[in-house]
Amino acid sequence: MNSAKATSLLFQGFRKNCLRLNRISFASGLINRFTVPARTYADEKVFVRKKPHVNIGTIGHVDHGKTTLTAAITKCLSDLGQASFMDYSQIDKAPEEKARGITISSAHVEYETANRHYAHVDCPGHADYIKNMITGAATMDGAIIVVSATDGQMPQTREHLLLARQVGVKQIVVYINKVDMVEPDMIELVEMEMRELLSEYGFDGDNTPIVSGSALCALEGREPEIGLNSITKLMEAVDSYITLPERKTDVPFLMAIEDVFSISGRGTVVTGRVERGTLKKGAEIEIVGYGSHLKTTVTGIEMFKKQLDAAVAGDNCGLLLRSIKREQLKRGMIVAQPGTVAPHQKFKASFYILTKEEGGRRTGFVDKYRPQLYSRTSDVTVELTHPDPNDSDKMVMPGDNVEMICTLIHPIVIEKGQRFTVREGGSTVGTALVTELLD
Amino acid sequence: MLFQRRLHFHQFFGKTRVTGSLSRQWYSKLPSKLADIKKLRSETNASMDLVKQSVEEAGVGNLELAREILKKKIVQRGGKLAEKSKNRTAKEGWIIQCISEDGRKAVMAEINCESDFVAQTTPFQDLARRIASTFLHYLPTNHSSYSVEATLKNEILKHQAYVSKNHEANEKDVSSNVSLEEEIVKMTSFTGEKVQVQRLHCMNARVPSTAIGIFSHGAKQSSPLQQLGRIGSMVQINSDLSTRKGLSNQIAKEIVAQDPSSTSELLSFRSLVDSEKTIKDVLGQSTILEWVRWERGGN
Repeated sequence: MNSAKATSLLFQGFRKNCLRLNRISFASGLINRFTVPARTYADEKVFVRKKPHVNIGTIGHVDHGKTTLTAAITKCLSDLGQASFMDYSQIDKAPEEKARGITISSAHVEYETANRHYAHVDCPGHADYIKNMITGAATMDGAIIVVSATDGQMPQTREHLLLARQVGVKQIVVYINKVDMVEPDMIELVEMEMRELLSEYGFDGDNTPIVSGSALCALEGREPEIGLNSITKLMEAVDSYITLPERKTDVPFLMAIEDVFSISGRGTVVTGRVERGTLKKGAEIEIVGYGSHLKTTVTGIEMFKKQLDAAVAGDNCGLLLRSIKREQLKRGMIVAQPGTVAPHQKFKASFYILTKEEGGRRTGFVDKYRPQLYSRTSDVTVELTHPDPNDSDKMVMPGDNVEMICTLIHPIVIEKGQRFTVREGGSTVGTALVTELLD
Repeated sequence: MLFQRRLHFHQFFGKTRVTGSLSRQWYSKLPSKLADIKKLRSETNASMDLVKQSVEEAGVGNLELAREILKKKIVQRGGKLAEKSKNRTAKEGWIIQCISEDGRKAVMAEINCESDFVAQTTPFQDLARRIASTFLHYLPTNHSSYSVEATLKNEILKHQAYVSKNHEANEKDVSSNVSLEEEIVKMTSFTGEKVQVQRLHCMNARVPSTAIGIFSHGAKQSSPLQQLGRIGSMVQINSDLSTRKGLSNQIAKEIVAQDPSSTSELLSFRSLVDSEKTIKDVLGQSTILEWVRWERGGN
């Protein structure tokens, strides 16, 4: 009787929570703006993600065959039943993405090898890759640089490598394309030049896999040695050389508190969505934020009237907490594995400032601009300044990608790599990625 | 024959791997044809194929002749690519401004390429600066503010060579015999992208009490006399002598920042740098005569 009543109350709490979210969504579209819909081009097959997932991108001059290579990869793996084939024209005509209202020109495809599942992104411009990185719309764990054997590297190839570094790519695989049009010794020279350039820009030039072939031959099903076989070699190189990102369930537990309830007979319950890690019933946790730092134990985990032994990344759940009163907690606080998070008030972040066409500001701003920062379930006023004191009267304009120092009016949990938006009035001004903690 | 050469090269390459590190000294041990190709590649941005053809036509070892042949091939290829990319969109690149040392004349140009990767390369930015400074030199001074029409633009591009007036601090005062048009064609040859001078505007301070201001935002600036960015503005104000230069540049900056739809709207805006004042307050007794604001790839 008591247990049934408590469960019923918990469910009512969830319903109330959902209604609140709906009101927020209805009033401002806030929730919708934060949603990044998963995009898949598979018409008939649905990829079941039992394999590790890796994000990869192609970079290179448009006439060096970047899009042809992407099409060739999907054809090659499609023949093995591991992708939906996308013809060149389909990739080229992929629509512009909208991530958090920001316009990003990009094409997305998905495919699998025997070992991994890949999400593949192809963008026309530097700015598009940067926006992808900051918004998290399509991150890159690795990159394939495409270079034509007839041209070799070009003046902009070094900008391609700088971009890869800027978006955090640590491993690159090179595909030397169009080898059907040149003599073998020229291919070797292109390779040597690429290794030298990679080393110059901070990559491991000596050990970077460099595969030579012709994406067009692969696409047209001719000359298998430089066609299909080169794509197979390329994907083998990508499988073995690009390291797997840390899986969300393997990292320390973290959940932002959305709501707090007091349920008589059972205690205090917090609800939210698990951002990362795994939490087991009975585990010790700490709760951090707004100057508080509490430790307790999880005595129960519940989701949709069911009691669970564990919660994993992606779950929406309620946690029953021992010896914590409702008044000690509030929305925006973080529940985490002890010792893994800390509040911060000052940090550096890389911003993309929305253009007016994207719903951002019309005019620029200078140092000491004070919008609202929104991250996870927190919102707090932030003051923005340039890292270089000499730049204090330097402008930030809509459309800029700029690194700035953020100073919060009070500390919240902040980590390197965390994403947030800044808003002013009812509009989103910018979106950002934490690059360095300063306190 | 081919097999033997291939085998020889693999032996060389094997040595490279054993030593574990590629370095420039190893290029000196390349077969002489490849060494020549590498040398010419280092000297120019020309594509691998063009360099190879030039070395083969000149005969291995004859670098001087190869250089002459390569110059022609670079321009030929650029012309071919320019024709082929004629209908492609080129909206990346820069707004570039150049003002004379006495501040009496200024030019603003939009120079486009296809990708922002090319826009960020040093060679492309250098080309943009050279184009702006050359137009500054040659554009007429008989109107206080005008957009440059296509015939005049094309005439200068085709017939005038780069002229430097020490606008870049570290560059010697040199002139070139190569026309701007050829410089643009060569840039297309090197990058594979369409390059064009999209638009030009010129201002002349023909009355002693007028002053010209320039400002661009979005790229690293090399000199106050040249501005490079995604957004740029030029303004001409009527002002007294004491505040002329600083004030006009400040107004140009406000125009970039505030994106006004009219002069009267601009005057009513709060200053970005000093939010206690409106632009009208900042101007004091001065007045705005003309202004232009451009965004790359747009209005």
